[in-house]
Amino acid sequence: MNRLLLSLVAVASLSACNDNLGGGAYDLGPDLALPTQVTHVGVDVPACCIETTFTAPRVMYLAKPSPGGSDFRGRDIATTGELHIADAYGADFKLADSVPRNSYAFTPDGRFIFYLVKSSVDSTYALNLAPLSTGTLGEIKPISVIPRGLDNTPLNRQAFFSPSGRYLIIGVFEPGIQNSSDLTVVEIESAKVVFSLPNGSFDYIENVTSSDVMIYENSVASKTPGTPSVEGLYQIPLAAAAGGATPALIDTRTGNYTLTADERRVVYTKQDGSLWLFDLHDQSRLQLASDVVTFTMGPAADGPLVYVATDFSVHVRYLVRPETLVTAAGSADPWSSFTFGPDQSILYYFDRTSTQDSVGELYRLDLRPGHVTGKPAFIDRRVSLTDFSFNNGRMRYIRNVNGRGDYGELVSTALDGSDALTIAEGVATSSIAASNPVSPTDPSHGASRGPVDMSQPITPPVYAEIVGTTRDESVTSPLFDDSQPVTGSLGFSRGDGAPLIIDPSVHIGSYRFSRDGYVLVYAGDAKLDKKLKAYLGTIHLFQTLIDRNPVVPVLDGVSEIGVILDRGFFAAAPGATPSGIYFIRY
Amino acid sequence: MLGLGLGLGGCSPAAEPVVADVAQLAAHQPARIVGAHVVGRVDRAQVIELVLGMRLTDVIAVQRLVARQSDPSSADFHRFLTPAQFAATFAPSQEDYDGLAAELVRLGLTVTRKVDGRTTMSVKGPASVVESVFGTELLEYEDSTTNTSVRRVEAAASGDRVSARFYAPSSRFSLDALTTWSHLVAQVSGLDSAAPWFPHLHMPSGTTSIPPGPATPAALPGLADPADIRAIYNVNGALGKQGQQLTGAGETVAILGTGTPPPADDLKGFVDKYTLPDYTTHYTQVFLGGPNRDPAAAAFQEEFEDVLDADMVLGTAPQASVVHVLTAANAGGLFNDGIAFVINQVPQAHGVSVSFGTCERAAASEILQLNTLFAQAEAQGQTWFFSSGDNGTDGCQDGSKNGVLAVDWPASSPYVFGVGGTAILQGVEKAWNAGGGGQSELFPKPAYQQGVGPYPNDGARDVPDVAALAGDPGVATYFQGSVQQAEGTSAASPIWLGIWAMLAEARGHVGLPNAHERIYAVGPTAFRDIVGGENTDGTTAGYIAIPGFDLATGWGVPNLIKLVGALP
Repeated sequence: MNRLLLSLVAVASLSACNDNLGGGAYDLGPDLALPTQVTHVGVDVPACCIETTFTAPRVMYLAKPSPGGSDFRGRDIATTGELHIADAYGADFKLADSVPRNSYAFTPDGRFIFYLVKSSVDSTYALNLAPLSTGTLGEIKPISVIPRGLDNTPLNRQAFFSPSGRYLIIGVFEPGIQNSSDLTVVEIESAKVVFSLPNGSFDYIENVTSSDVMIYENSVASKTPGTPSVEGLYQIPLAAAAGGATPALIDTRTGNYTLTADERRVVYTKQDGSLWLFDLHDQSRLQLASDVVTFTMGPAADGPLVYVATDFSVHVRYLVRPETLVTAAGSADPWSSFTFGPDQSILYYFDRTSTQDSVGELYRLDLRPGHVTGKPAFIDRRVSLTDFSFNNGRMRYIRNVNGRGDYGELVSTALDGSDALTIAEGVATSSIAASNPVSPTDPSHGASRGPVDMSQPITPPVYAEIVGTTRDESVTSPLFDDSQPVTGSLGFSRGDGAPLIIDPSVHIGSYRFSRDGYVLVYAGDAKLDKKLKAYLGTIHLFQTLIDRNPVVPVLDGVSEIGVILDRGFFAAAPGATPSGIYFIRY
Repeated sequence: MLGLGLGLGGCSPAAEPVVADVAQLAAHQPARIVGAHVVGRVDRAQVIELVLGMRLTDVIAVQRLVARQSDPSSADFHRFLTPAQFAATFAPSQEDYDGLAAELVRLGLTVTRKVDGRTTMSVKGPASVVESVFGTELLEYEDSTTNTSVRRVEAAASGDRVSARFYAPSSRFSLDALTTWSHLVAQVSGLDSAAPWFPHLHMPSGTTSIPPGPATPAALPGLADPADIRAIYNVNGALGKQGQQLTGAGETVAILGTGTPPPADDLKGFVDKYTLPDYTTHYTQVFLGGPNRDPAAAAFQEEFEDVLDADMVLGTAPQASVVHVLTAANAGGLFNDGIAFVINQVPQAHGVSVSFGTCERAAASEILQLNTLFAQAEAQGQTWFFSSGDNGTDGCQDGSKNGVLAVDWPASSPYVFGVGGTAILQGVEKAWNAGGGGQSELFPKPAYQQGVGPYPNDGARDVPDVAALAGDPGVATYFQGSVQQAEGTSAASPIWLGIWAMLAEARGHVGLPNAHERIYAVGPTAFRDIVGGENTDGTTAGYIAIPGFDLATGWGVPNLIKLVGALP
């Protein structure tokens, strides 16, 4: 039936109305009535590894990429190529040669780009920053921010933006240093390094608040035998760091830490198992518990705090209040993760977790006053840690995940785990994309709102996922983007309804919803190109408003799909004719 | 769908939510069941052997006691418990323990072993009775050629004893049949054979006895082979309580590795080359998460590591039962899943060796979790050995440029033994220049190191605790069809595991709870001290091996005869 459907859509007109697949008759109206515009942008050569932004129709990509892989020791060798930036209107500028894949990014506000280039000093990479013009893309004038010391890995593996978007926090290798990079903070507006710490400081954990206070761990990095280093947890306001402010020590020999929801306090463990609360404003400190293995903070400023003790009992309390719940010993494991239900009346957690399969047994604890027993109730087994969500007062998760964590049975249950309904079998873990289409009558969404015709709005959310999952076991070296060789049929569903199979072969991750949720874009009929180490497919657009038509093949040989902005998106199509980057407007 | 349903207890609709209490046991079904298909029910008469783990009365109290035993200011400092004392304080009462045994007998099982510490109880019985007692069916499964245990199929096809068939419970089982005694049981091992433990066998007839060797190293003409290692660490002549030459017989130890497992041909090549007992009788591979998932190039490196680990244990303690646990993936699996599995599912192993590690500072976020498990293992008499690294004092492998001192994790955990390296040059065993060592930046000095070594007041956990051969002339291993040279503390750690198996054998098959306290107490007398050599690459400062404890070789290398005498 699914294949029949696909053959139908191949010849169907775009204006067909759905009348037989449930959900009522929707008028497709003008949304996809106009022919889709497919424009080749950039240079006419194979291209890959795109980075896009929600702020403007612009793309960074590698032209003429040389596929990477791994060396004889198993270490990554990055795909490299000629870095370009292009826009949807024909502008294209070459930025550098021999740039590692995805070692470039737009800043969150889209006003600048960062990218790596080969260092002129040594064999490492340098970091460049370039402001972007508004409107049509203009000439790029890069500024060298860090002259050397960057790695050949994607930028998001060696750097992150502060929540405010004002800073880039990045690890820089000292000359001759192989594994431990140094914590370095770049102020984007000034293109200056405003704070750095030597001796492998970036190997620790860093966190930045929305007001740009950085919390980080570090040590004195002793070089003298007999004088040990001592690890410590510090804070520094990044705005003051540029003026030479001194970091303040919070504590020593710390483990994990997290900020409270109001970002006023830090909750952290020490290596002796004690759990502490530190107030970033008044510098006060309070011990919350001892014999703690791991902890989680709830969504409110005072938690609730959930922690697992060394006897693997689970404890729940609001930060400075008495415990509200304690379970028996052995209720959890060292890697248990916790999630509060929609109204915080139920605490869900995973026990007996397998980190290599990303699965565990799902339990719940009732937190409602008068119902607190401290007895965990078993819900399900081999539940994917990464595919657990709530929808309209029910849970959705993948259970019975197979032995290597690839796929399982997608179910919907009541919040207590009862009334399980199978949505689909063989659903790939981490493959579920969700979207909440906005109401066409809601003016607050501006240009991103849905159809403005008489169409009936659809009820969010909508989902897309890989079903009937298979893994290509013949692939023993990494694909060009480190993705898994996992494919399957692409299913689309509304709410907890059974998925409609809209394509028989899609690579995991090769699909995405538009921001308004009204279009699902995917690369269908995907096949592995072993030379390119990529799955190539044909671009299709699926309108979520209706169930069946249209599914519109518009471009072949596609390996990547960029973010969808205002009914347009970029795609890398190394297998298309001509090869390269395309902009698709619908 | 059918396989999944049978294997995991039903698909849709979901089973009724049940309350998790003592009757809900951990690890009731092996991961190998996923994808395997049922071929029938286990023969009703087949004898199933089980080990019941007792629930300790207060796990936290055990951990606190361990801490007090390590605290010089505590009244419990260095006051170790006998098994009977441990039982009196933390285990079920004798009355309860005996009551449970009587109940198991009443239900039709045979109690085959009770232990003084009252931490375990071994039983056996026909499958029909086991099913009745534990409220489940025992089904026989067969691996699919496409499932996660394909390796086992290959092994079976090649004549390896690892079978493509195994049995396992059909569902989550319960202890309800034990009625009032059910709360005593925390764990049941043996209800499945997905990861089988093979019985210990005698040394095959015709195998020559192990020749006596020198108590001190001599110049080795070539690679250090098993006979050399047994000789230089004074294994020959170390006798058990029945006067038997120690070989590890009757002891179980575990190796935790990852990636591609040692091939059968290479293991056979090793034992044949060095006239060791047939390894298939006492060496088992357990695939945690199925076959290797790491990229081929990485898996190749890991395979050599795994071969080296296995060869060192098989060569040092040739009759120890070795459970080689291999996680499918290095990242995210080796330490988390692997360590939890070995501690909880291979509790009979008195020693475990891991030849992997990482820069200590990169592990700060996982340390609490793993230390909790290591503390549990230590309190229960399971001792973990970790290689201290092959980069001298540069545990972060940054090269010589920054000179920053760092140690490897988990070797730096105060609950495990970090194993450093030595090298033999002109017949003298010295510190290996690449052996990991130094001072932890995360852990304060544990009580057992107070007043010990060249920096008795440095406030830091010092690494390593012990050492063994890692450098010149290299150890002999068998890889890809021929003898190969290997170096590294990856050899030293499994050598210590073999020594540990024989020490436990000598102690009457009893582990060594509070092992650090005990080892440090006998450190000055029961080791062969290493003096000379320095673990430095010449630019990052190192530590010289000095008389007594040092940060290059710890207390030194094993002298099994002395260790056996010091730790009866």
